[in-house]
Amino acid sequence: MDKGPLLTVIFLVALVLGPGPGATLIDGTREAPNIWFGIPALYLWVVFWFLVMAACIVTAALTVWKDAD
Amino acid sequence: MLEFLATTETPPSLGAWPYIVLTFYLVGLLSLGVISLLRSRRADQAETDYYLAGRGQGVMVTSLTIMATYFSGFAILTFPGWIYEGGIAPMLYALNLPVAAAAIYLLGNRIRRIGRKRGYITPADMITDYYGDSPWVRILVALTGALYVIPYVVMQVKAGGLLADGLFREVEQITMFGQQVSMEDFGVCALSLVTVVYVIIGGMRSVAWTDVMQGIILLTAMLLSGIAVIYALEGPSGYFSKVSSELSGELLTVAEAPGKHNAWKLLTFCAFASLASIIQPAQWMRFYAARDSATLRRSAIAFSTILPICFIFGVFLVGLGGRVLYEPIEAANGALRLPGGDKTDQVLIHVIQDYFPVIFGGIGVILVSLILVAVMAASMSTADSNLHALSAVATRDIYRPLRPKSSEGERAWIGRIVIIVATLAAARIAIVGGSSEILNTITAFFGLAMAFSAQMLPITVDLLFFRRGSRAGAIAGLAAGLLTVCLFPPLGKMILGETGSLLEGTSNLKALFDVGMCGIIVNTLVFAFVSRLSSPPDKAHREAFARDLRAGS
Repeated sequence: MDKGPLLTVIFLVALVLGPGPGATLIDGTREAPNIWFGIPALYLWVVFWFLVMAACIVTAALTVWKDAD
Repeated sequence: MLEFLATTETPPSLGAWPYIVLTFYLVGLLSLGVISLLRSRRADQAETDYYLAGRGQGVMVTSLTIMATYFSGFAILTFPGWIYEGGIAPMLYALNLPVAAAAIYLLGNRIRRIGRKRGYITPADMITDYYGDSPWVRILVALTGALYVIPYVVMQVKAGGLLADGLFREVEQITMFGQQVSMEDFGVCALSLVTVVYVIIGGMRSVAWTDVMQGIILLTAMLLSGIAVIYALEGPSGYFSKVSSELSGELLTVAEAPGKHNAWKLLTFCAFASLASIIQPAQWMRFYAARDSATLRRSAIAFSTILPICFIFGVFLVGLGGRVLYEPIEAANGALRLPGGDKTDQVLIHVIQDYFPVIFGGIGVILVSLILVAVMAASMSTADSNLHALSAVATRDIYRPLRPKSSEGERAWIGRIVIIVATLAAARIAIVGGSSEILNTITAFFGLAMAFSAQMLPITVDLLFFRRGSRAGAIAGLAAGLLTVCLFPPLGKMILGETGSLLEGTSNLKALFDVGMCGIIVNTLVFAFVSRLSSPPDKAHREAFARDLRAGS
């Protein structure tokens, strides 16, 4: 798969899983929220998907998007 | 948001520092306005220079002006307040920022390229050029822009007054032209005056340069406040240990639908509200103003990294840590309040006032003043961009069709008059304020401003990528989308009354999904259906448009 479509797929997966229903799969319950490495799992989830999405943008900007002025 | 500085408790005095910092800040803004004026005198195209800074803005100015226009006082006050009340779930809204960053290049660069080629200044210039000039298209596009811009100007001017009131708490009243006025009203007048002066004299260049200054102050303030709260909770491990052990599970998990900040709401907001904010008129004009593709490509990198870092590792931590530091109390109406009765929007102000002097010693008081001014900068940077865009929409989309033979210079001056009139009207509404009917109506429109702006998305995507739609389809789709948004609360309550099955339906939908998305669905269906029944622009015109959009053209 070319880099452009691959980055698009990863970005869309991150968009759906990150803020969407994916978050409810890892956050635990109100009675027992998940804590990973001493940090609330939901906060790590925000950080992780931000890194994935930002990495997609930076990679696309540096390697896929062409300046053709 | 308007009442975020309505306090009941007097925090420690900051002495003369707010006056000194604010003076430096305002003098800085006016100086940038004067420098912009001197630069623009050399321009030979008055209108293009005034509205688009000669289409020559580089990466630093473009990225910071897009960022500063993107967030208002909402980012630095309301967001931490939401997290104080709702826990980690609202942090997921930050994932709308990479979506907006992608749109800066993928939509913005195409808008820039064809805008430069064909001399567009406003969004309506492009849309009427493609679909064919008709009063209906121009009026609807101008209306969509105005529905976003006008409430933002009024609310930011109002917020500026409240911020001035918060900054100078010791001063209750001030004498102005022989009359006693409250600090809030004085703040509204002073900030409106300064904003109008630098927007009028320097146009886009002035707005963008001041946005750079305001953006740098804001981003610094967002990160410093995060450092303050981590320090207050004894370092990163102490911070997360206390957050994990002392906060209830409700604050560490996502609410089930239709609860506040549920997963569907978060997802649809990230996907659609981000795009709505990035195609509103002020941002659209920033794409036209960018120098080249590389500028927008690098701006997308800056936007996707710097801004989320300042949120996720800055102000968001303040909201969550603030919940550990300050045990909330419940007001009579059931709303949560900070200790002492302050609104939760003030959690960042509490943190910096309580901990900056401890962390930074003597310089802490200066930093507190700087951050309070930064909050003001957030309001001003949004107000000035929207005022400037409103002026362009009024002159290009309304005045020029009425007076087709008007010169560029004449239109630039009409634009300046629009800015003065709009600012005076906004200041008047803000000062009369309180429970006035007009302010209540504008507040209702403000609540749906992004949803209105989102209705530009179907026609924007069509003309940039597909070019299958017709003018009749564009008019019908846009009108249907705008009317759909009007049915949602709070505006829906004003139109449909307090009860009714339709209002109940839209209220339920609003709890689950982004309102803009609901409007877009109706808009797209109507646009596609009517376009099938009518003729698109002729083939030669579509091909010429596509050629001008293509890379290298």
